[in-house]
Amino acid sequence: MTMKQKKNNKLIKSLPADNLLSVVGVGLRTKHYDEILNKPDNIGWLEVHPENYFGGGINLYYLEKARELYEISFHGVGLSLGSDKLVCKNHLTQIKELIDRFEPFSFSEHLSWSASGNAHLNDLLPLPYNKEVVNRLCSNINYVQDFLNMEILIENPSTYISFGENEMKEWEVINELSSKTGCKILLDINNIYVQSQNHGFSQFDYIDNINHDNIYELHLAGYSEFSFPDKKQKILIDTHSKKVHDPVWELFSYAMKKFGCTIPTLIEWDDDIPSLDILSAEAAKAEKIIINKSCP
Amino acid sequence: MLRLKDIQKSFIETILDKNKNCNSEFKSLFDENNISIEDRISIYRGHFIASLTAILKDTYPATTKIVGDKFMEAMSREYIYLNPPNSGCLNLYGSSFPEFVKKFEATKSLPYLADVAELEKIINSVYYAKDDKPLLPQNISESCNLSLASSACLFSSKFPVDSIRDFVMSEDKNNPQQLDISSGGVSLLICRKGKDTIIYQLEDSEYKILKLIGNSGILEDALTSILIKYPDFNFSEFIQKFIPIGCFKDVSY
Repeated sequence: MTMKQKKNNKLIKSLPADNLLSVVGVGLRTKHYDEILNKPDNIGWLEVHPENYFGGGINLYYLEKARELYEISFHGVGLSLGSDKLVCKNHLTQIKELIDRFEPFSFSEHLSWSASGNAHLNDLLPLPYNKEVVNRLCSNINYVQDFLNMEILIENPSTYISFGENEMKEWEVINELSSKTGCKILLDINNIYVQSQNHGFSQFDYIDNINHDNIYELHLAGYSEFSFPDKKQKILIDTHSKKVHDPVWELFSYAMKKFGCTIPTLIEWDDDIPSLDILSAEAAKAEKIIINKSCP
Repeated sequence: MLRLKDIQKSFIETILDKNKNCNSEFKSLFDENNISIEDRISIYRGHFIASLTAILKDTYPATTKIVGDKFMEAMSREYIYLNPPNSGCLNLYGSSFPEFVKKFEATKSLPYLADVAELEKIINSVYYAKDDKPLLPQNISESCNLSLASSACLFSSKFPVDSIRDFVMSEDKNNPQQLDISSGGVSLLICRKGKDTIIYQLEDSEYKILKLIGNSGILEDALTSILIKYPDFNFSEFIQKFIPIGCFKDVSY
């Protein structure tokens, strides 16, 4: 199916069903390049950071091989949709070339920013939640969607600082972006839990209030707990470096019951990457919750 | 509240401040909520430095082994504050690191270090270079335009940098390689072949003609120049050796 067809179909909510082992995917990472081509158990699809495949070379060789076996999603990390300037056209052009070549079932980016002036920090930085930011994001999302000729997915972030004069809840910003631009939602369950603990709100309220009709992908990941030296306070960091924690599984289970439909789900693990056996076991756990709509 | 543009400018300036200052106007934008704004910003600054340091260590593994982890981390921190990324793609981040190492006062006692770093920079750029259509032997003539492939790069050093790199990266502690650092310089072709990046040691004449081809692109001109200095240069052997390596791209394509 071409991207244009997908656009006409308002983007496929489920993955193409043919030969699909599972609705749960994992990230395609260098460490697993050879092993993933043996189609390990429980892994239904692969998530790819397109920026890692800019240029050419060996990475593209493995992506070609993996694409022959799996459906893939593209998860961008460098567009900086929340910056107070237009998205970089050169960066976007390279993403489009990869989309045209590999035909991922979705392309997602973040509710965050990274670039200002000439600096482009390698982080997903926090935004104030107000009308000016919503307008700026809408402008960039519309530009990207027009350029790529497809609806994109926007992911909720983890943040470690909050603006004092936020005018909107985070889920209100995401709902409004989706309503105004037609973009879909990539809901990161771990990020909701991290946000709830770091900024003091109910994680269940978030699930209850997000527009679940527009959720087209879910993320699960492990956070790390950070303690400041000589201080009692702790903060949760979205490190993607551990197994999914129990409270996140519980929230995932709650979300599954609430949403009542099958949504492609990713086990994210980007640091201290474990063996594929461990990722496969995490994927199996997620699949079981999706099927049973409750924690095992 | 400040406009988004001003908030983002201040945020980046605060993260990039080596002295970790946080001005009161910037702090007033945020909720402290039992954790100081300085501590909260330190999470972002810490991630910024740590993730880029990891990229530099990954791109420059031999350089890291020569100076040691702690020194590399300190040197990287200095580099990163002066050279934050300017793109959302980090594949080639740190391409000016060898130049920085060359000028870094604390590494003056290691005169070969910047060249080892330069070799590692080239290996990284070759790894990510785009895939050209390789030149086939039947398409070669003296009047044709030749060009080095994007995934091929020349490098010469007055130090045996390839041997230094092999020596420090050798994992075989039972059979350690020998290294004679005074063995003289090398001319190298670094080229991607299939899934591997290979480093070829070149004769002077080979290096010079490849350099001339890289500069002018016209085989006949390069050949004329090289025959003046190396009258015995064997063009046929040269082609037979280098075409299979895949270091030329088909410019007619």
